[in-house]
Amino acid sequence: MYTAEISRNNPAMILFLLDQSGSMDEIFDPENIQAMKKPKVVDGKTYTHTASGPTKAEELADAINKLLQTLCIKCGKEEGVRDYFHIGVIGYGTQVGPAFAGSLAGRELVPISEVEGNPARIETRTKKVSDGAGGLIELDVKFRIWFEAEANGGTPMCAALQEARRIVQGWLSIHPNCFPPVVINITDGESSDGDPGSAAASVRTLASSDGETLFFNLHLSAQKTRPITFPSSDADLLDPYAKSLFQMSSPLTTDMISVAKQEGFNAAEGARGFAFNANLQVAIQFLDIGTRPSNLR
Amino acid sequence: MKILAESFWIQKRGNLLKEYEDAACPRESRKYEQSCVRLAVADGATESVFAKRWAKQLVDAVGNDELLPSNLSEGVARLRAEWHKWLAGETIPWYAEEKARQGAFAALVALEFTAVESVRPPEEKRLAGWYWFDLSSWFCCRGLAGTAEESDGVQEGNWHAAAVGDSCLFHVRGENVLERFPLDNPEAFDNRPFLLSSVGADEKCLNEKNLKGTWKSGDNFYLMTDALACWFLKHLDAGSLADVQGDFPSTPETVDFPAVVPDTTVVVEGGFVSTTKTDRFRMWVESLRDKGMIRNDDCTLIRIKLL
Repeated sequence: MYTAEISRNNPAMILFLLDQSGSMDEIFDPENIQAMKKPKVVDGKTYTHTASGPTKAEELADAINKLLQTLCIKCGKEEGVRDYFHIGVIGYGTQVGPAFAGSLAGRELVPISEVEGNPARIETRTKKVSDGAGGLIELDVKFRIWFEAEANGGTPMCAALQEARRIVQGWLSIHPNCFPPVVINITDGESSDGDPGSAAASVRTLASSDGETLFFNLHLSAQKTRPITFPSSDADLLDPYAKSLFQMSSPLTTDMISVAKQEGFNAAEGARGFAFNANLQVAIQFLDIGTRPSNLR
Repeated sequence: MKILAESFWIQKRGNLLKEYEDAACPRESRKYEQSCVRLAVADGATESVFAKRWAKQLVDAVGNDELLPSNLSEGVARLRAEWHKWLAGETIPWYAEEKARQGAFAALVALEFTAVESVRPPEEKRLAGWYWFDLSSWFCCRGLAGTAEESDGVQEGNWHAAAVGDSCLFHVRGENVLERFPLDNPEAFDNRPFLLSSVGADEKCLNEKNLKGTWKSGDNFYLMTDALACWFLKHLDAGSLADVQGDFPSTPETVDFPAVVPDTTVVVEGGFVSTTKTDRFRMWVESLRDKGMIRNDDCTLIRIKLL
């Protein structure tokens, strides 16, 4: 199981579920904290202070745009981007639906080469890189934006999972022998339309001939605790939403654990596809499209 | 020293011919008559860019005496400098820029034969090794066995191989596989090997995997890229080749390979062309793929016979 070839003849699907609820407007890592004259209620929560810094929604947008960029690079060859993957991005907040911005708006599953060719816009950012002599230099880099930060409404995670189930089912009916679909949910964890546990289970049980759908979760929290990646128990997770997301997450396959270890993660047996305030870029490397040198960094 | 080197290759199923990223030297089957011969196969990594070009550059450098198995690191340093110059003039799409900066990657196994003069008469009337590989119709080479038997004396010499990554060499004498290098069991293969990069400062470790030996007339050597080498080692471990060896040639149909096609190696001026064998190799690899016995990947083989 989980050994099906990922190729242009037998592509895999990756579906991102993105929390766009009002609570994602919280500052992710607050600085310059100041008391408000009057408390403000957003998405059922009362806020008493203002602060500066990127919001969770902005962190999420960065995370998904980086993931999409990593996928384009992974599939990129000198002559073009090979369609090893079809990508979907579903947002859930005021509405549940496709969340690509720009010319891909409204599309459910898009071949990765089309994703590459159609960012909504391109930003120039500065990145510090080694100057080769022990110092750092600032380099202008192009950052592609396919998804914009958004934070409005409730957190209909159950509805999003039902939508995911519909899309995965449709994919599997056309690609019954594909590498199992990968669904990655990025959220601050507070579902507003019920317990998402059973909806998540109904997504995970959808299977190709090569195994059940993999459901991974990235939990973004304003809690100042150390990042956690691929835990094998929820003992170190203090946030109840984190525990719930951990329970919903698929166990990593043996090969995935092996890749995670090679990439420097402490993934033990029973590790789940779950990360808390960390990044899940490595999850892209779990997907085997051919020889990847161990000395490629 | 007389050597016949026959090259066979097929791209990964589902890929275009131009997407084949292995490389072999010689690319076409040929016969050598010289005191020193160098051959190589390389396997460009899917997840790197310009891997095909890098793999070809490596094997060509081995064939042109610019990359010696006795000192890969020295030759690679020169190739890397050339690579940088070439890359600087290229226009590269954004998604390939980072990978290009990280380098192109390939596995390489390079092999050098040198001759030692000998006046001894032939030791064996018959070279059992030919039969061993007659197990597979396309591996078969009975006609050439005759050539060795008819030679004036047994040739001998030294060989020296170097490897980075999971492309492999096998040294076969008669019924015995004398060497499996650098990997010796099918479990040692995975999709994340350490490979030879077009950038980097790892020259020192490039000389770590080295093997020397001696050869004599009738020996076979095989250079294979990883999917084929892994299949080969599985067969050796299962003992399946040895099991059917005793039956050959009376019952070739017991062999699990395509039906025997007459061996139609064609001799042309200065070398050999074997289109039938090439086709048969491709059909045979495709049949292994159909049965799920071999990983779907580019496959390259150089079959080398010491005549």
